[in-house]
Amino acid sequence: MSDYSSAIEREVPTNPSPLDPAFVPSPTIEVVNASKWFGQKVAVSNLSCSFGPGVTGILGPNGAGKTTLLRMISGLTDVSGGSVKVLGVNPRKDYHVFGSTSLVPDEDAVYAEMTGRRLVSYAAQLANTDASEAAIDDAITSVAMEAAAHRSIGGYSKGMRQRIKVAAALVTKPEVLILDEPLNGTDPVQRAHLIDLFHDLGDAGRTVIVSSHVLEEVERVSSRVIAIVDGRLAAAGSVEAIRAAMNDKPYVVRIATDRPRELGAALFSSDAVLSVEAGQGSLVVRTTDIVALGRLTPALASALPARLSGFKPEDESLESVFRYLVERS
Amino acid sequence: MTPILALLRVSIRQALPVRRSVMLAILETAPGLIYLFATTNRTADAAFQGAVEIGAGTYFALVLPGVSIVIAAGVLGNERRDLTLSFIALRPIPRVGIAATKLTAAVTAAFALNLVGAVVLGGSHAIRSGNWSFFGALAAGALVATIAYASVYVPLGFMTDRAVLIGVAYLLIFENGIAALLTGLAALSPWRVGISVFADLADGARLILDSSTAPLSLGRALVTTAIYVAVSIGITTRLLRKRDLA
Amino acid sequence: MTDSQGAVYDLGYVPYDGERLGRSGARRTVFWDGIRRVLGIRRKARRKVLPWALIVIAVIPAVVVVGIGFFVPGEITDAVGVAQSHANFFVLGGTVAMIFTALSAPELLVPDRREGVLSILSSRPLTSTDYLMARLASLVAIVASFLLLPQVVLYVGLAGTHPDGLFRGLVQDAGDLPKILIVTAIYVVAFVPLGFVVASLSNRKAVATIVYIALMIGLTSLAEAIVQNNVFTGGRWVALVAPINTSDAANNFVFGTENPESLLAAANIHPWYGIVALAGFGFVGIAFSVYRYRRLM
Repeated sequence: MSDYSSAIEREVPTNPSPLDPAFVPSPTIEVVNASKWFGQKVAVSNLSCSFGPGVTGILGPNGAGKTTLLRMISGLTDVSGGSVKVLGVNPRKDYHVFGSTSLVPDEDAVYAEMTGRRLVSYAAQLANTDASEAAIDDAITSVAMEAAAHRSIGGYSKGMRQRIKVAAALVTKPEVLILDEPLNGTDPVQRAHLIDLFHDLGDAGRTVIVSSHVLEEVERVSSRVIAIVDGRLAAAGSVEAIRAAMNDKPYVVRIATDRPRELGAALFSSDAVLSVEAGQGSLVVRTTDIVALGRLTPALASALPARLSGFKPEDESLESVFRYLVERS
Repeated sequence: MTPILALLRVSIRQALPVRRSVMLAILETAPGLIYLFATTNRTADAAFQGAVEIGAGTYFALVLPGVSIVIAAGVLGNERRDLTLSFIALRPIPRVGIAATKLTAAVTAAFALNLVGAVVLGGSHAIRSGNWSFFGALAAGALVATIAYASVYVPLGFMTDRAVLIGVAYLLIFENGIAALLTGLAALSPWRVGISVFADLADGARLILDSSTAPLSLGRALVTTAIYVAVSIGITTRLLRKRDLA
Repeated sequence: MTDSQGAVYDLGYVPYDGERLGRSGARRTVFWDGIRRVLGIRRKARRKVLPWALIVIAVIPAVVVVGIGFFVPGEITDAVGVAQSHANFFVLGGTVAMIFTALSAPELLVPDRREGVLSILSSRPLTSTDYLMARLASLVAIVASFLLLPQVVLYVGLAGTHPDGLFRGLVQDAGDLPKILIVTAIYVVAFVPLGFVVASLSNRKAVATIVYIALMIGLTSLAEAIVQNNVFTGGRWVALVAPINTSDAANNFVFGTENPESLLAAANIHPWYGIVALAGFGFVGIAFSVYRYRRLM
């Protein structure tokens, strides 16, 4: 378990340890000390991380720098400092890499007068990939847009535009797929479908990066998360690992028992317990050492005696992690 | 279809949406209609003189530049403003290829409209005089002028939202004001480059046009145009390489 | 707080119960927004450059003329007369106002359509006609100010050069004031409605600007060619289709400084017909714009 509090004070590694969760062993994308500023505004500050095959979620509040990071990775924007390499090359210097990458931007970057089908076909032609009817059909079917593909994009809803953009990105069969808030405007059924699609692509060995400020989406889409706050890397790794690394944030544990007041009084004498709140049928304990609490609780319950029917950490969700990271910054 | 051809085809189609094309095409007919009405009872020589003067004063000096500026400033500029630039820029197409293709699209779309004006004016003159060679000279001059304008305004449209306004000011103040007085600046006036080609190809036109209106020989006009094109592609390529595209 | 069913927390939210300004408030808001948008007020500095440069271009000549009048009293009025001065400055001001309309009408109408703001405005107590009339009022107010500002400078300045003092000068030339207002209205009616028609049809500001300027110049050239060459029977009435010529002729008529070489004079048409024609075209132009926006909002 890495030490989060020492991690944020560390020097940004130029030769990162292979165990550092911000980095992956066989990266397709390497971001090294990347910074981006627009005049006086620093959007991304000294950020280092890497991405590899599979799905990685980029999480952060609005204005955190997620879109700027994705634009630097995709080659739309140059870095002000540091470097970005995609498949071993700088995307700003070598346009050939665009044959292996695809970006689905957040904004409505589509031609309203085209039909969905025409847009997908145009994307395939521009990338010099298979632009046959079968290839276009495949891409359109993968996002469930068969019924609307012949209509002009100007008449699409927001969710339909997002999906046709994903289809236009997929038709080029990219090795790296970068999606900025791809689930915006989609309904629950469409969202589930797209999430499954991203998982399939990740499982097939493609590098898929999905950014979002919606915690539930990131939790469902990816197992690996890069959290960005105020343009800086705030955390990296799986949700559970990030939570475990947050040493200075007490755990909140709900213990279900038939004698909450007695058990609470007994627990309160332990140094590991910061506070106890007794309710009906359960008590809520704040502790700095969840392992010690886990050993202590059954022993005290047995001594009382009290019946234990539950022991559940209440704040291992991404929401509590996210809130902690934002407030801490 | 290759990426370049696909880009060219879509860019031309986007540069000529129906309503705008109809409006601009109607505008293009104005010099020809003005000529028809203005030369109702004129002799052949006077009709030719009218055709040259209206061609110079209205078609080359106002209508052709206006249409060319609007089309050229939009081929890349509108992509940037509509946020669709990423769709074409993040493709395995060399930047110089994108620059050259967009310039070609601008010239093709603008010339398609300017040809309408040349047909109406040239056709009107043919009705008056029975001579169609005037149309040929007009079309050749229009093509050269269109290339020159597109070369300037494609990169300018990419650089700024105000390219058309700059173009209008440039047209009215510099090209039809300052450059008329200082013939040494004529090469900086794209329409004068075009009209110089027209003047060399239309027999007798040079006798009517003064040196400040058609200051270049055919050869110098073509070389100047080639320089415009090379510089334009160079600047646009550099902008695509160096500028943030979003 | 209970932990069984649910609870409602008082976060201090209080629904608004103040005055509702209603439709008239919405119209005023759109009007003032139009003024600020066109003049670049509360916007970046570069948005102010063009409109204020045009204002300076319109006013400076009047300041220069008044300055000459102070140094050489009577020079201007002896040479051209006060009325002629006003009429001449309306011709200059009219040209600047035309360019200003070409730039401003698209600025007022196109962005709201392109950026999807019309649907938001529709959800307010604002009809499509309210919206368009408020935008029209913004443009009319600014164009009229354009035209009036140099005239006021001229009026006060020339009065200041009066040998019996400023007050006598103001009283003596007071008869020009209603004429100034009338001619201002004529130029506004000549230029603004067509600007609105073009801006309501085009989705690009630049295209609308170019098409407007081209129409104004093109109609003038076409009318001149038809009238001067007597192309067809009744062709002289085409002179009424040229807003620039018609407004200039009406301007000279009101100030009594008629120009026998004007297009209307060449067409043997009394300037009153020109004024009626401008009003008619203006009405049709605004009616078309209202019709167009009824379909959009």
